[in-house]
Amino acid sequence: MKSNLIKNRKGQVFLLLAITILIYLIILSSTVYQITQSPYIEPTPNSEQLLNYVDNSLAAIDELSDIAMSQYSLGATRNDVLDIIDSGINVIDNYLDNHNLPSNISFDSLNLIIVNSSTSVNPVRVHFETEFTIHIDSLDLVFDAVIYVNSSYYLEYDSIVGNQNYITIYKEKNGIISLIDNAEVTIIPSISVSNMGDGSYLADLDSGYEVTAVLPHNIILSLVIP
Amino acid sequence: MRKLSKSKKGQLFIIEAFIAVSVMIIMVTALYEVQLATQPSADSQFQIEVYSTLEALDVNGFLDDYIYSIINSIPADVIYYRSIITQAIYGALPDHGEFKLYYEDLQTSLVVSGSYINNPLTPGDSVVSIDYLITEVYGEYAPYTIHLQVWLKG
Repeated sequence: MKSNLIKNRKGQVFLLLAITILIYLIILSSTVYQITQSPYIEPTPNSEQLLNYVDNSLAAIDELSDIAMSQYSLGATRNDVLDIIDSGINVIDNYLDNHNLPSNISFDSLNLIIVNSSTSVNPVRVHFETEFTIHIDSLDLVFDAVIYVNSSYYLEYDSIVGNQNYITIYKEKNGIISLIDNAEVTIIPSISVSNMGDGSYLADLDSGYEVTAVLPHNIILSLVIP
Repeated sequence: MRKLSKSKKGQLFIIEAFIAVSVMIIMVTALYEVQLATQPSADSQFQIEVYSTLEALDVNGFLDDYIYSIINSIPADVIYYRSIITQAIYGALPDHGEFKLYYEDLQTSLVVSGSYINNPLTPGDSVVSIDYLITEVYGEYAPYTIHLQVWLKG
């Protein structure tokens, strides 16, 4: 049978066909195997989670700026703020280390700006500005970033419209302004304030009135109407 | 049919046909495998969903509100925010998904008593652990790690 198959022309064609199919099958299966092993298709088991931890640490750094502005608006000193940020970045550093992401986080303490403007200047604001540097060097992930945080909260009143004034509360972060529609606004002497739901608050203000707003993250801004 | 199997040509034809059918089956199987491989697994999918939900809860302040109400012993708020967090996480999980959650105070390294959600549940065989860090609660420096375990029942 074997010798017949090789000698016979049809047998030779058959053998050639069989070999071709075999080679084709080997190439096909190895290609499929390579595709299934591709990192683009099946990421390493924890790569998504590692990126989540990095993302989470960036959000935590952002929270530090809100702590700084809150505490400063409540009367903390610049040194208090520096201590808080120091503790915060240590916590974030440990958090990343504990998730197999050896990291080094620092911030520019020398050029850190924390300002709370005078209560008689319209708009009144609290401002925070510094640079955070984050370096992660692990087997699974290398990440380097300089995060520039430039964040301010404002309380502003408009000139009289009829016998009412609009008080506007907003946040400016790295040039992007967002209105704050959930602040608690109180006025001394006590008068009613209407939250218009779009970042503006309506009240009948007069000279010498003190407007105080408690913003999210417990940031307090006070403005005395001149 | 008998002729086909007895003649040499017929035998060759049957073998060739058999090989051709085998190749087709293998190719279809390979295509199916590739299709499966290109779809993210259900596990990684719900892990991403759960993390995004935690992020959304954080951005909207619910994670802060929950721990604040526990620390300041405001039972009505604890129930309210616990229910919001519970519903949100179940919403990110498949129908047969379960989870367990608690806060760890990073300043004391102690678990915050009363922060457990679904504590009596026993995790299944393949548990996915997700940690989430918060550093601020109502403007105060208050670092907590939220430990979350998620798994699929059955």
